Amino acid sequence: MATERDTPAGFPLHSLAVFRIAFGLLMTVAMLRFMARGWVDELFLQPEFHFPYPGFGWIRPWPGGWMHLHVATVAAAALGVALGFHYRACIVLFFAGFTYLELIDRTTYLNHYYLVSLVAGLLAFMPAHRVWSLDARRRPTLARATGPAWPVRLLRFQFAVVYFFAGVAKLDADWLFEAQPLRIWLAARSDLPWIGPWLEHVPVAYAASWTGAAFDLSAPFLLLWRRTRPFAFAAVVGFHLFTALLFPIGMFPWIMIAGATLFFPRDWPLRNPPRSPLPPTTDKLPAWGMALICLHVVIQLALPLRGSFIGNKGAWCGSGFDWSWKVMLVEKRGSVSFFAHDPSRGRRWRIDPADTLTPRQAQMMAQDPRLIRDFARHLAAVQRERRHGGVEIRADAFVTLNGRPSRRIIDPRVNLAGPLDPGWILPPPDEPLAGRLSLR
Amino acid sequence: MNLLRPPLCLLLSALTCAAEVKEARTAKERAIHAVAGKFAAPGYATLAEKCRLLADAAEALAEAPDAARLEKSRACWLAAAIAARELECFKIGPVADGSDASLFYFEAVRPASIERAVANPPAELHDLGAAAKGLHGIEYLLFHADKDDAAVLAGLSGESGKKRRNYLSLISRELADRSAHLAKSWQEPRAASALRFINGGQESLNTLVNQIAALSETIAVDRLEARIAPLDDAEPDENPRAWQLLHASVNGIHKVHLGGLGDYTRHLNAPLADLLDRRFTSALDRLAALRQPGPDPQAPALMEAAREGFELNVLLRNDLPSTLGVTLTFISTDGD
Repeated sequence: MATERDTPAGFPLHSLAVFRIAFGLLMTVAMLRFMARGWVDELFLQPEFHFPYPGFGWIRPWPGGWMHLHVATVAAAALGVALGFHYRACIVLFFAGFTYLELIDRTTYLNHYYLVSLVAGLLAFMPAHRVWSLDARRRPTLARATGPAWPVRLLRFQFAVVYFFAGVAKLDADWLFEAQPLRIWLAARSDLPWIGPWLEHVPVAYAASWTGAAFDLSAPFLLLWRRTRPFAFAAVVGFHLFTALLFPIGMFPWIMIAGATLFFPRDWPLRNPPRSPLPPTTDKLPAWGMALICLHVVIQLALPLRGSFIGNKGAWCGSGFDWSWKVMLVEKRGSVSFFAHDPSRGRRWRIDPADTLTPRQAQMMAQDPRLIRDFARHLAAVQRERRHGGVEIRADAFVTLNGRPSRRIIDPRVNLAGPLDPGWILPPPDEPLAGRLSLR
Repeated sequence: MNLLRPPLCLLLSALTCAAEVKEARTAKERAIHAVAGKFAAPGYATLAEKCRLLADAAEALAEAPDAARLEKSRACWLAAAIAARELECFKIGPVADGSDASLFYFEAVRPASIERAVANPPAELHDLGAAAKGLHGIEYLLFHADKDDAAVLAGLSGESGKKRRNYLSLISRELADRSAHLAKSWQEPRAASALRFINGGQESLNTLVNQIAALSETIAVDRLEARIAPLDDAEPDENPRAWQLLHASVNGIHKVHLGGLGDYTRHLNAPLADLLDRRFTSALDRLAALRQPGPDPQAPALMEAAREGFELNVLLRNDLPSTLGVTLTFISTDGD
């Protein structure tokens, strides 16, 4: 097995190429699936209103067929990445196109979409096309068998961050001592053949909670260590296939399995790579590149940690949840009613969000006070356009978290269309969980 | 010894689970079977019986209209309507297969359509839309928009009322036939669509809880809140029978809870099941106290009933779906 010492010429680029091919193919499938399931219409074209990220309100969906063309272009770019065909252009196009889709509406946020954007952004700077690519075949001067080690290490770090912080997030009383939300989620899958009947049992939920936390916390380290790597990879495959079977988490398991191959020995997939007559790639990292990597690493460590300072409030009001790898961590449901009040005319009326939002948007909004506020402001703007200038918008919103009884999450007296005092989000319930620590 | 206790407990639990897993049904399957056996089957049997009595009473009234027979027909209508409302949260299986649901729940009957059908009865009732027949078509003929008894009787009497009497008999008998068919679908051997529900697992649970949540929202917002805080665009129901029917709708959801859904809820989240028990009792008590057709919007009893309806709705819309892993009217995409 090769080590760093016996390949002084550089780091074999084949494992990076394998990851590029796998990532590109997975993203091609993901985009084709996106179109085939009608999600372009459902997520981007049907909604009359989108929930923008702060500062990104200018990002709007393309009109009609252009949006379909956009997603098709992103799919083609992903295929280009897999084939290594005009790789740089394709990966930049994929990164920009995919991130654009993600930024249109906050209610579509998923951790694995965020991971895809990060990985694509990193790949754009990496020499992943120097081997096993059409580019290398077309332009032999581009072909290199070895290169710098930082790309594979940076990608390993990226995947390790996902696992580790997903594990840290599970070191939580609800997860460990109440087996929530797995107790709820597993019971909903009790129809599955063979394993289904087991999933209704509380000890199984506890076992799954503790195993999941231990797996997430240890996976990157066990993948890094040569002696445990084969078992860790088998566990990664088993774990992700199991979650793919149990939960509708799309491409996430497959992306993580592909990412785990980056932890393989440096000479993977070729035990004895052919000696390349060509010198190592000249993609040396300049100082500014190292600075950018350091900045990226710091941001990737800081973003998940910011939630640690919020405590239970984070899960309640959603603060610190995005960009933090809090993957499938809470069972949260909400319902909200909006009321408009025109003080000048003494009129009060109910506004049904279903008139404006899709069921998916309405459901996601109802559990997040900031999205409720954003929608209230949109409603006030609509009323202003109808010359009802001074209309106040109030919301009566309830949220249940991990099986606790529903509680009001927003002060229903507050006009959400106006300036907000800090207390507009009501504190989380402080009662213990509905369940008890029991194995029955 | 203390060190051995946790693994021994786990082993014991695992063995207990294994023994339970060997049973033919999961707790969810048991709950769905119970809802079918203890709620749907007896509920539809009751509906069929009440509709048969209504058809008999309507035919008797058609033969010889008088005040006593009108009164009896009206009482039978109310009993049938209450039985139907108790099944309002369960438009699942055979009733959802065809147009039967509209026979019982389509309230927006059009007097003009009914009068047209009275004047020119169609060869096949099946061809007639829900706006002219069904439970609420019969209500129109028996209560005639709550005109006085004399006016209703006059409409049904004599040669001029003959067509009206015939039409009343015809649509009452259709209702009895269809409800008998629905009741039979839930008895052994069950109809295919009833079996689909019984064997549908989480899919059936999703459908049932979605219907319960939707009805609960309608009750809390359209039928209660609209009374106490009339909004500009609300049209409160002025039907004097509204409170009894509203009580029946909530009672139906309660019966589903008692009939099996509550046990499954308790299996997953016992405090929620207890809370639901209390809320149902309290809401039904408050609704039962509402007897006046159109109480003052500020009447304390009405305010109390609306508050209870609201609290119950939060549990049925948020907590119950969350605990049972049910997605409400949600088009499934990926999630993490």
